[in-house]
Amino acid sequence: MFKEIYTYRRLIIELLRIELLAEYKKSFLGFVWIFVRSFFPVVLWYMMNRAGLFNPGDTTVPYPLFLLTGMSLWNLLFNTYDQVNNALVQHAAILNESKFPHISILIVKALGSLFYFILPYILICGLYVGFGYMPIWKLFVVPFTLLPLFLIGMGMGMAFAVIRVILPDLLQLTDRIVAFSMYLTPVIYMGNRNLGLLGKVMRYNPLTYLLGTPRDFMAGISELHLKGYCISTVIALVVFLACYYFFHKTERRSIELLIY
Amino acid sequence: MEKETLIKVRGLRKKFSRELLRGMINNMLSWGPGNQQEQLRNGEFWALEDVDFDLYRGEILGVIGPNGSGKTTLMRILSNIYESDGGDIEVNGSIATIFALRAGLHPHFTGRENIYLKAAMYGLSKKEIDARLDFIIDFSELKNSLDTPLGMYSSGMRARLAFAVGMSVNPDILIIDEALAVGDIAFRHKCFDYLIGLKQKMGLIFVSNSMEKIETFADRVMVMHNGRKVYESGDVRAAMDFYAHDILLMKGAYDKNLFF
Repeated sequence: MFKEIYTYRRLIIELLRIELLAEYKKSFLGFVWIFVRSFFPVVLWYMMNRAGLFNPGDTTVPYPLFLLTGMSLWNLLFNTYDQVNNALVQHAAILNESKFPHISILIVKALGSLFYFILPYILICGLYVGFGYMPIWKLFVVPFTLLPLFLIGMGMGMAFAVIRVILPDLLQLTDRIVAFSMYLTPVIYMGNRNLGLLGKVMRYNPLTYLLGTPRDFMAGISELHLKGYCISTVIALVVFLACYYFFHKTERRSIELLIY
Repeated sequence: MEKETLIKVRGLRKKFSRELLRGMINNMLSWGPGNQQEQLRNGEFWALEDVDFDLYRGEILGVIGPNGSGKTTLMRILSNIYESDGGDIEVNGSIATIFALRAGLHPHFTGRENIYLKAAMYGLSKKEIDARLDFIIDFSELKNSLDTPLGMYSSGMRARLAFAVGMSVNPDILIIDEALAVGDIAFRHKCFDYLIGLKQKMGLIFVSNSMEKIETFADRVMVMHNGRKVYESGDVRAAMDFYAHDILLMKGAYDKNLFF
């Protein structure tokens, strides 16, 4: 695989350039939309919180910053999954007409979602450093703590890229489960309180640790859930490798069913 | 002097399903090693059945057949886009394919940017593309429109650009599937002349259902019908006669007074 990716490295660069620039070629505001898209849900949830519609618990940093971080990390996972699993169907025509490693397209989609995550995330890190929650050295560590979250999104995206072609019914279900799981993960509220059944689900949900621990680390919390984070990282790696294996074994056969 | 064999195909088979849902089920059943069955499953048919042929360096092999005869499926298997369901393929050398010329081009980007994109699909590095750029510009005759967005090109101009990129690759084996209907008549002649000039260095498979093109261009002809090779000859005229009388006339799709 690595040899093929290296041979087709120029294709990955060219497709990534198109992925990032095509949408904004005819836009006056260009990349500003990336920030607007990231901040818009934060404003909504914050307004609901201010209106007293729900209580997020005692957050580690001011609620808008907590929301911004949580939503941004969730988007890294969800957008990577969503973009990668759409890759084969979106590129049906060139996949049927050109010979190149199909994983290049999935890599491009994953890198694209990483890029859309990084821009607002730099701003968020600036806020953490500016308000004194995070020393500058952590800026270099935090990206590594987010790798498992990215890997689990990409892994699931790879497997469901094939499933989207072969068995779209299953994808309909999974898309909804993944979107719904945002509410089973402490993205918009704190999880360290008595939440009954929801609390139990969260305790066994690997995403709780893959998302919550890096956010706590940024906020300077001393008691990190390192055990949960390490176990969840192993789970993320296993999911990634299993999904890659599934993609590798099935993708060429699935191309035959792409309709364009 | 012994001819150098570039492609050796023996007993090649490929099956497809007639129905989409049945195809999805059969596709899943074929996952994994050892699951490719020699027999047809429910709803399947042979798109290719026991196809044998050789391609030698220095020749142009014309492949002709009515719609649905298996020509494109055969080329996609040779190009490693589809997996076969049986038989052996031995390839000695690099393969480049020119299928749907415009697949993968992006209308928002300039002709120059699309050259890099299309060439990268053939696995070329930036350095290799840079080295071919002058040839591509000269061959496509698009020097004055190179920095114009591709969306503003005519369909002939787009095809010329894509064809010029394909011509620049210089593989051992070139597969051209119905792609020589590009540009105006002068450009088509230029393409034919160029390919005839190149053929000593490579082997060329030219797929078409145009008898006129095959007759002017090919050194040897293979006639396909219902997924089978039904005729093969170095006597191009005899092959055309067979195709006209034994295939087209039998299908009632050929008026012999039109051509002879």
